[in-house]
Amino acid sequence: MSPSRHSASFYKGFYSDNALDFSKRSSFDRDVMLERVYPRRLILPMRQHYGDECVPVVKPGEPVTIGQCIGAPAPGTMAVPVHCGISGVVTDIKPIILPDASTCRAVFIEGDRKRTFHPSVRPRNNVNVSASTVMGIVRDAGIVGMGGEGIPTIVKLNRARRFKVKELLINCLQSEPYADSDYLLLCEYADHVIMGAVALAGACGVRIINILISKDRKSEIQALRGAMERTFNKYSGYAFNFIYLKPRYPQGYYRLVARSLYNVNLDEGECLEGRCRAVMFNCSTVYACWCAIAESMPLCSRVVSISDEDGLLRNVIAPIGTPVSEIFDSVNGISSTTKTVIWGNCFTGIHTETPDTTPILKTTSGICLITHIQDATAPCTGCGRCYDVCPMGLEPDKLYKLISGGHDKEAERFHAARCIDCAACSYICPSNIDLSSAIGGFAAASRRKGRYPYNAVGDRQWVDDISLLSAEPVKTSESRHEERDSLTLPFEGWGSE
Amino acid sequence: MSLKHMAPFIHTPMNDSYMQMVRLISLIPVMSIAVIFYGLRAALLILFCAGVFAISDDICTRLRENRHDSYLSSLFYGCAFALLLPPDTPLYIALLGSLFGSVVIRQLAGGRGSALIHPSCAARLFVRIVFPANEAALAIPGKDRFALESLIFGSDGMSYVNLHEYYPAEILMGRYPSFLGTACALMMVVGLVYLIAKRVYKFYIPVAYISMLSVLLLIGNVYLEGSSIQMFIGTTGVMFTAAYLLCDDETIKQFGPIAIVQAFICAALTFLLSFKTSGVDLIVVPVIFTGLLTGIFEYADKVLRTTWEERLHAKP
Amino acid sequence: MLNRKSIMHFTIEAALLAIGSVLLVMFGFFATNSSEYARVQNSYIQDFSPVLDASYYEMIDSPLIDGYEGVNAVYEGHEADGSRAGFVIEVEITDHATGQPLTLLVGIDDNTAQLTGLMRSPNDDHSSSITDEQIAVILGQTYNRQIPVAYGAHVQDLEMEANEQIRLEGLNDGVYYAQTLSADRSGYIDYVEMSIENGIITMVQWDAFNTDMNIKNRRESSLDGVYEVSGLNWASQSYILCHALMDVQNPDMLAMKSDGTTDIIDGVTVNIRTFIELCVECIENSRAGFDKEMYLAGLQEIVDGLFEGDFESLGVVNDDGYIVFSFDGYPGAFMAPDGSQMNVRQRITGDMADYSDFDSASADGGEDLVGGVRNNEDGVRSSELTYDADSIDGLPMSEITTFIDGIEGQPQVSTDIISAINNAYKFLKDYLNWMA
Repeated sequence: MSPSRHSASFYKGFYSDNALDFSKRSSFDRDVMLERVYPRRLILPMRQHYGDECVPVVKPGEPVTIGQCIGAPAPGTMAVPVHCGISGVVTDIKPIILPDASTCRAVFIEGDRKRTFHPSVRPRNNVNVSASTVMGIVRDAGIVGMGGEGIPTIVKLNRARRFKVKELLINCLQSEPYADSDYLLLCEYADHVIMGAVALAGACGVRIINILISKDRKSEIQALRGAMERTFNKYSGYAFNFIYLKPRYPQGYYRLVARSLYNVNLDEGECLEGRCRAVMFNCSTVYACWCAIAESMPLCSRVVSISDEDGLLRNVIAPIGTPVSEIFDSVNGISSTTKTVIWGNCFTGIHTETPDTTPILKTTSGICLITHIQDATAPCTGCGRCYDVCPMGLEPDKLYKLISGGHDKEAERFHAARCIDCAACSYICPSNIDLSSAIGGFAAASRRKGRYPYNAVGDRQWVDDISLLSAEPVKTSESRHEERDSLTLPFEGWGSE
Repeated sequence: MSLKHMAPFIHTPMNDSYMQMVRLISLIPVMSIAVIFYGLRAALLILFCAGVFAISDDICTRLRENRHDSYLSSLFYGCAFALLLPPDTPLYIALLGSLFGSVVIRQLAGGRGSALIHPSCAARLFVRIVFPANEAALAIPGKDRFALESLIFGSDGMSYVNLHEYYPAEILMGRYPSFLGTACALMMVVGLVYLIAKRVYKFYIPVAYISMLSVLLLIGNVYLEGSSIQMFIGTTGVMFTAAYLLCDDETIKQFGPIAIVQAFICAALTFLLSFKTSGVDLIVVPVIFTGLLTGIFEYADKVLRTTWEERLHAKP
Repeated sequence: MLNRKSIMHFTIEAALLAIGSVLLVMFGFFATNSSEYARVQNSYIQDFSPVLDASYYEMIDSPLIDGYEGVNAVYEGHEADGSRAGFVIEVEITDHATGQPLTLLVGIDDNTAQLTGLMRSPNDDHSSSITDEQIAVILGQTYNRQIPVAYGAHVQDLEMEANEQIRLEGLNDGVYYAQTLSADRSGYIDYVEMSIENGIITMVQWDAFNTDMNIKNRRESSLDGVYEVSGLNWASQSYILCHALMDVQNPDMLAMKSDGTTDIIDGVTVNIRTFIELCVECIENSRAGFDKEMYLAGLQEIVDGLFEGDFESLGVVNDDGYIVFSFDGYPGAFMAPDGSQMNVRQRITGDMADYSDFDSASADGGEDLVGGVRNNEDGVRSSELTYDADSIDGLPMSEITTFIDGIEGQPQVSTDIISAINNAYKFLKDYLNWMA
């Protein structure tokens, strides 16, 4: 099933005419270079991914370095390692409550400002590694879906191989307002993205790489084309295609990509790999993969956008685990004293009142500062705007009334569980009714009850096949041949304590 | 951690108050020309109707102990109702019409968002039926601008005016006896353009209405005794329907193919009615009928979309 | 909710839209004025040219029209050079047969006050039973004839009725004359000339000549604007007063008050005492058979006697043949033996009989007179009734210039249609202060 090449989009019925095009919101004055944040401390939760919590492998008082593994998956769990982004000393290991009300242990590290790297962090001599090597590197680097899903990348790679996907999709469709981190990454590190894509394609066994991007991202497209030209001689046999999609929120969501490109609606429990024979990675994920492959740098930092309603936009490279307040202190022109701090982007983020103890995670692409005015709610006028804007084809006004009235069965009958909690309906509602909270909450509750397995629980088995605690990569059934180059785990010293 | 503030943390600026304000401002061109043509009595009539609508809506909302609703929509309905009245309408007729539209049609149905039919159209039709003689309370534009007697005593009405003697430029500028706001097609177009530019009103709805009406008039021209399309559209006030009545999101669907279908049906009704009647009937009756059919249209739209979704769900 | 910024934006947008709309309307007015004018003129020409031939027409917007009963609209017709060709008046009358209104267009020539056209108005609702053919008959009898118009039989009846009711007795036919014996402060000597035919006063004229023969008569002076009085010019008031007397045939009926004015004659505000006295003298002269020639001869004799010379050489006769002499300095010229004042007749004839009994037969018992003043119980003439100088459609008979036969066998229809013409005339008279 090949995707259409022309300007595509998910659509509503016969006319795709909703107004959620935020491409103009991110036309801020962009900084020429990324700022780097050097925090004084880190808070590293042991679960920053979709899955189970890791086990801390350091103790309080122990010195740590950049790139060192400080949290490892327990055997048989669906988890990926957590690495440290600064050098310093572990001060504490205790549970924290994240803004999404999840609880897990976290490792508190006080930096020494020395920026000492772990010995394993060094450029790799030969980046022409095998597929299984790539998979091992990706697994051990703790890379997860950095677009917000947080699914361990190794899981996706294994699933892609299992379903024998035909093409790789690179998701460059950051469509949420005020979010700009992916685009800056594409401009600054296009070479990494291209090479990372090649590596992942090789790991999946595909030759076609489709870059999903909006056509009005001209500088990003140009950067990618330039990177392709520069790196052309470093790979062969791979075909890159640009697929232009409309800059419409939430275009980058995998179900909507399936609808836009392949004209299919994924049922609950279905995945892109199985139904459409394609696997999709966020461009930040691809970049992190190449950093792990080429520089043996695990995922311990990422680009974060800091933006507010007044036109401020800063993109910083911050170590994962940096407290939000430290980012504010490091970046000029930001004052959060009077504004609401949103951990995440303004559509899918969560309000936090404690930026001191709220860290940047692997999946945090932005921090927003909003002057949130709680407007008065008016009665529903039946205008139908929510219906027009819902990407899943739901009727939010009716679902809201059913859910508010306690008619759960009726709400399920109208497919309320399909809600992806994109909050587009709440955004567009003229009466300021908080539709997405009610419907999204209902949908999430339905998924937790297991009636609608969102991601196949069976994915866990693929994690089991790969024992993340072993010192050697576990070869999958499809790739059990010997690798010629010596596989060096980038995390030497791990497990020796 | 507190989760008292949930996403999204930004909101479209096009909230209900914004949209109603835009709709209200879009009436300024037709209100201007009404006041320029008919002077003080037009201004007082418009203010009176808007005030009565707003006050009665507010009182009823408070009696129902509902959350406070923006009064801007009430002002819009009141102004639209006033603009559909003849210039020499006395205040007591305007009062009764406004109360009917506000209390009976809107508030008894449940308030904002619950009306089945357009309150202004219903109020105007009520006045038409209960006070049929008032339909002749027209006046020559530009005459007796400061006369206020008609507000109390009404008028004797005007004799027939043959609009076919008027030049197209005069028709476009509305320089002929008509209702307060339905004469000058140019002003209505200005208001319509403003609504569309502010993205409160979808362009395809008025375009569908006018184009369907034009096609039907073209086909049925032989039955209209030589009335040209531009004369029909310019003098019957159907531009008012296209610009201000079909943009009501409470009673008329505004999005998707169903909105276009509704516009087509409204145009067809207007065309069919033109054989039997004239005047304000052509303006308000199709809108009322179309509003009553909204439920059927919604169901049809849902069936179509569900079928489409199932096609998407179908595995190859 | 709207915040301050958005309210400010909206206010600015609303203001811009309002200003833009007003400008657009103004531009549209300017651009369509010629179209409107052309359309209106086409409509006027189509409607009015059958009643008044003109190059263009203008609607008259006057407060007089709004309150004028029976007149719906008035239009001026103009020639191409801008001169006024006449008037088209839309008149509404009542068809007495059905009680329904009938709206007619009456065309009146500006210079000659002749009827130029008469037709049913396009605004007529055709509820009346009067047909276009009937209107055409009246038009045929009145076209190009001076207005106002009277239906002959009606007039005859009215005249007979009026004459029977109010004719003074004892009047001898002829022309009678009286003048004041002293000049007023301005040097004017008033005179009244009265014609009586068949015992009816058929002509009354009141004027005054000045002792300074270089000064014109008062009537001419007032028309020239030299002699000014309050209200209408003196010539008009004199005219109205004379015609009022002709209508009532009795100076007493003019209800002069103690201050010399009268309230019952519309338009007359000047002191009428001199007029009344001179009229009384004329009537007495008529009863006594002392006509104008005898009066003037008598006056000449008196003057001659005063100067014991050649009357011709005194130079007291003006170009019109009147004797311009004030007897101010000669109080004894008209003194009676008993010391009372005599008039010219009494002085010449020596006849001191009382000829001043003016009570007409129909006034016995205080009955209403036709248009006259009622005597109340105290014997005081009451002026409650407004003097109704119109004997036909509110117009005095003296103003009626054309008499027609009307539609044969349909006197009421004739009267109804004619009243439209006369109503148009009345309006124009008021509007233009017109004297036919």
